[in-house]
Amino acid sequence: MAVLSLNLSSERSAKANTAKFMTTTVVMLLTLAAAMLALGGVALLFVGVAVGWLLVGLAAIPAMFVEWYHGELKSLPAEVHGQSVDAWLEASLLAGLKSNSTPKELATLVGASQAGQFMAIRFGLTANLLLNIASEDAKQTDDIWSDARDIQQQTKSPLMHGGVVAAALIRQFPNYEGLLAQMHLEYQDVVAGIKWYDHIQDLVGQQNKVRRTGGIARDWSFGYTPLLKRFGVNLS
Amino acid sequence: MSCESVRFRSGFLEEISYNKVMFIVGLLRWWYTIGWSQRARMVLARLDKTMDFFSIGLLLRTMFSLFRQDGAGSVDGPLSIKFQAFLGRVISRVIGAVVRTVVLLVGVVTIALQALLGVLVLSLWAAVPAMPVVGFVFMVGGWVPWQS
Repeated sequence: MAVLSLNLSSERSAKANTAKFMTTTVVMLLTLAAAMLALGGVALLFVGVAVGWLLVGLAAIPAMFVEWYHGELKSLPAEVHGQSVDAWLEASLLAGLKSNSTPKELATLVGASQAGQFMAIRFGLTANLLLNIASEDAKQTDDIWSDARDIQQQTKSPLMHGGVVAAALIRQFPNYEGLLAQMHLEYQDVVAGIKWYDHIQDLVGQQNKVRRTGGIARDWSFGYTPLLKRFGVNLS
Repeated sequence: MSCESVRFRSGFLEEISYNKVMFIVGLLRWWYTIGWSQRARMVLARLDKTMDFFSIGLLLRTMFSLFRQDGAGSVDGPLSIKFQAFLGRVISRVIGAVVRTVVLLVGVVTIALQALLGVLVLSLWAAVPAMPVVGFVFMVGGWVPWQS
């Protein structure tokens, strides 16, 4: 099995660490700081104090961080031409990794991730179960990355997220089929679960797409249809 | 302080400064590449939404159509009733044309303003990282717009 490299000093790893730091509270405080600096600066300029320019200028710094967070860090995409684990791994997992992380530590991170929790709720693959089956031998982590990459390619997942790593952790367990059978599951169910999670993420992403509905001109070319409007959805 | 501990501290500091540089480079690289194109897509999407709302093409194509299909039903009966229905349809078309023309004009102005605002936003986006320096220079210069 080919050993995949993991570079915890890569640019994407640094971004993942930044994203970990940017909690909702931090983002809110940065937004507030940007607004206060900008408003304070304009107010000072209004009363004729030139220091206002500096405040307005400084407002750009927190504003840039907030924009960066919403534009990239919030859902850090995989690197298109990446060749190492840090290029594909979900940001929340990548940010929690240390050099020589053990499968057990990985299981803890998976249990806390969104995809890991999805697998726990739908399939019973809880953090406790993963912790019980995961080894403490850091050398086995390389095998998990290789398996996770295989699963990611098999399921065409855009990221090596918690669900993918959970499946890889299970596959590393010697009698994983027996373990899954006790839970009335097959390995293919776990793979289907990953695809299900990806599908939901895809649907969430599609919500942001602009829909062309024809606007008011189309409405005016039709008759009044208040009753139909109340119960139906226009598909044209 | 032992030699090893000094080496550890110097390595730690090097790592921190390396991460800081990577952090700033990462932010600026995103700002002028993906961030800028994301913002441009947002501006275009908003413009597209407004254009769809005003639906200029459809307004032009349906300019003299019946307004809300008022008077669209077929009328049978004496000539006076048919003439009355014809008049009703003409009025519906005239009202439709007037309303559509007004909306067309409002739509064109709104789209033009929004396009201008979009160009302004995209230009300002490029200038934002320089704003702290510009702010400092203006502060040192002591210039205040409404007191010059």
